[in-house]
Amino acid sequence: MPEGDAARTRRFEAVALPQLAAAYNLARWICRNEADAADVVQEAVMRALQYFDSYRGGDARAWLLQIVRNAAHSWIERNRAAGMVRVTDAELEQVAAADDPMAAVAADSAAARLRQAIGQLPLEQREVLILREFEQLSYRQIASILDSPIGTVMSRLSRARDQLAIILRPDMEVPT
Amino acid sequence: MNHEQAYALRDAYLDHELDAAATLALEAHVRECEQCAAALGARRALLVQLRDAAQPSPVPPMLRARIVRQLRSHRHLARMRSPWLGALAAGVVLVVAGFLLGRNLARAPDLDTELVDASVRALLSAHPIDVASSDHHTVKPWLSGQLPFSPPVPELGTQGDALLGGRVDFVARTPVAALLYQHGNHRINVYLWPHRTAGIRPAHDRSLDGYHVLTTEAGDFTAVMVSDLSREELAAFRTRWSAAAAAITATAPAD
Repeated sequence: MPEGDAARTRRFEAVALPQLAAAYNLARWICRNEADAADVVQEAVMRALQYFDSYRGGDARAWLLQIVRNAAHSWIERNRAAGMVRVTDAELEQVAAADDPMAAVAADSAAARLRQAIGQLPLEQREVLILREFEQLSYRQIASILDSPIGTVMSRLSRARDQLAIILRPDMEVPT
Repeated sequence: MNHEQAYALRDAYLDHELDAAATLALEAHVRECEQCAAALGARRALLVQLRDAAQPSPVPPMLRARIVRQLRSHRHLARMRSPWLGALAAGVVLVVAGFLLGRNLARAPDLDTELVDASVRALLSAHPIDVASSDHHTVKPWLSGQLPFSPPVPELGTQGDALLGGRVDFVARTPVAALLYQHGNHRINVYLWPHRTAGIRPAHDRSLDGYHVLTTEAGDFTAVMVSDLSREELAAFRTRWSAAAAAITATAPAD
């Protein structure tokens, strides 16, 4: 062993802890629930520590977010199996409003409406959209997080944006 | 470039993910085609709206604390484990023996850990005190009103230790009194409960994750102080606190 476990953990902290906000944000949007997102992030961080030897330097955010995404997806699987994923509109609104104290007051503001619309997107579109719009990752980074081809990222992102445009303005025509 | 191609590539174009040749071809098409220009404009507007909707979601302090704590305990464990696997095996034997000797102890987290957790939780929260006052005439009656006992509330004001206030906390699912003091840049939680309170085991002097736990007695009460002060400073605080508590328990048996 080239270094002690304690030194390794310390090195891991330096890599992973700065990415905690991005990790929590992604988990929150996937789970659509803050308490579960916190559990998912904690689980993912401990899992990342186990896999830390596979981290070869470089893009720490994409590396951690991939683990967070996998943890969030297994969380969804587990809860779906238990028949527990039932998200009401009120909960969606809560997720949308959670990071915006003013949203409760101005629920009809454009940004709040948009966040609510994002919450209604199907998971595979929602996660790509969050990674692109909120985390500002490149298609290549998103592709590595999803373990999918760049073409898949592109088409999901386009569909997500189409969907948002429709939700926000049902009367708007999408040219074909 | 035709309509379909331009439509399919507009997202990549707006995200600056197109190569130079495709970028030029798309721009050329959009100059000629009003429909595609309008679609691109609408999309650009949506992206601007999205950017405005993005808000940082701060990591809840409790989550950060939980993760840091877990990593830290992992680090301690690793430090103990790596060179001495034999010692670990011996430790396992001890833990099993301890488990068999006292199943109650093995089942619940020990009291010192719980007190440190409660202290960290209180200091992370926006309201570490329920009743903010440096006057024991305010704090003590308030605590007495909330609890089935009336704990001593020493003020200590003259020795650089300021009483900030008090609150009711839960330790081992039992309500206890908590006093918050300030010493320099550090805060000290003092937990108080009557001796032999059901459900609470005695606490021990101990250091845990940079926090120190020191116990003492004041009249009929057990007092446990938790702080990130250095152990020596906390011990000195304990001496001052005990003296002040002894003075008030001797002169004012009840409020």
